Amino acid sequence: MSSSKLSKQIILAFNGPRLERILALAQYDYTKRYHGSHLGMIWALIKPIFQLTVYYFIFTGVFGASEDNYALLIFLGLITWMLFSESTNRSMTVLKSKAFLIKTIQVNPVDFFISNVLTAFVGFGLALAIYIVASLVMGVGYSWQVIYLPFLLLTIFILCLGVSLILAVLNIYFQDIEQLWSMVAMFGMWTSGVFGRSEVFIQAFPLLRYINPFLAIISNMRNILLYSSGPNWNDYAYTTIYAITILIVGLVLFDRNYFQALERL
Amino acid sequence: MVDNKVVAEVRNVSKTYTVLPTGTFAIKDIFLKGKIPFRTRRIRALNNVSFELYNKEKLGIIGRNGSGKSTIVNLIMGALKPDTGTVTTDGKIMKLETGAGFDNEMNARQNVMLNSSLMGLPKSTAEKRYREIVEFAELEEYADLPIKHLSKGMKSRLAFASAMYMEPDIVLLDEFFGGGGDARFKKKSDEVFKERILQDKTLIIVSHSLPIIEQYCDRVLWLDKGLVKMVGDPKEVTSAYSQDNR
Repeated sequence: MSSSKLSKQIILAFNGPRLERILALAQYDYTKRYHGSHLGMIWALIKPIFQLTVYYFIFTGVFGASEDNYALLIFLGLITWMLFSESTNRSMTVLKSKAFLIKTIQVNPVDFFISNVLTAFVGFGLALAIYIVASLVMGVGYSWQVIYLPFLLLTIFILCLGVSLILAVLNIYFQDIEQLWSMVAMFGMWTSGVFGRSEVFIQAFPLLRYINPFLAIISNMRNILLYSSGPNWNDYAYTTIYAITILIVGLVLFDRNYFQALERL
Repeated sequence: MVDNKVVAEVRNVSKTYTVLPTGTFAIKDIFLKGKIPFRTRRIRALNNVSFELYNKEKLGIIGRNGSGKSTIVNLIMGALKPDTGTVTTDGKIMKLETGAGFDNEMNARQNVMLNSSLMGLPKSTAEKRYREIVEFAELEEYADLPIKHLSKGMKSRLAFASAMYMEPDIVLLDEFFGGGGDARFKKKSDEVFKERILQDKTLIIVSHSLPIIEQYCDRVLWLDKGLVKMVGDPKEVTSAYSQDNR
């Protein structure tokens, strides 16, 4: 593959063999994450079950939360946010961790980032399954509009991938980006409405709706998976346009700076 | 035999590395020193290099340390971008370099399966290849150990066997030759190398060993300080290179 072909490769439509490569990478990443621990991938199930149990007892038993299913509200918000924060945090070391492959086999580097986000989605999927079981046990009903869930997940995927590529480029030039990003991520988590209804945040700071797309994303996740309603389509349109714009910026920046990153590996 | 199809073309390629002595800069430098510390050094690796690589050709690249040999290999791999000029390739490429290509934390099976998948082999073929690779490298007993616990020789054998069985179209050997190991293993690897690579694959050998270059290459490229000093018949080029080094 010549360097001039790289940009074409990046936006190349997915075909069977490319998808197979990406899935193999994601499977590898996921295996590696739990490699060496005695319980292995069971941890991916234990952690969210433990989290949900703790929230339930603290918010329902100790604080006596007035909001119905407050533990579920927090859990759903948190796993959605964690999906984003986990995939973006890891993106800064993706190229370094795959240097052993980049140096010996021709690969499309964007595939590493796609598989990184997919790996985070696998963990999210397990947590979501636990959420659904718990919500059914707690009497939450689901409407047919749950079929819109894949659309929301696609928007989150695009956003995670776009931000991952931007962070990977920034990480080439600024060694402080990991520390800076952890602060940005903390701001993001507390302004995403993870710990309360999104409307409360928007009423207090209307601009937040436009600064942090996760406010609308988490709100829509709850609409579908907690409040038996459909997504707010205005919010959906805004977050999707936001995500696509971020992805385009990420791809352009990555295309222009990728080789600089390789020289520094 | 070599045919007329060009599988890699390097045209008017120049490459300069811009190196930041510190790698990246920290924000504290901006506050403490009042400026972004871009004290860069420029190192010219290649200067207007052109050549073609033909299908099934065995091209040797020789030159002193720092002459640009590995830069050429990395440009063909697509792991570097030229400053000027173009590099085009056609086919699946695999590079063998001592100590590279594997994730040390993972075992032989996980590494081989991932590599096979990235080389475009379907899963069922990859499974078959994995068994052949481990059997050839004589690592059946160690296949479930993380690569970091294997000896240097075992890793070389695994890398060599991977290149033999993963069906690349172009193989790049950067200061890597043979699978390591004892005389018996060397004999076995020579045989498989002849059968699987020399017969119908394209090969670039970067080596300081002139006997190896003369034995396997159809053509040799001599690089000197980033310039092509000579290209042609292996015997002529290596003998000119030897005289120059006296």
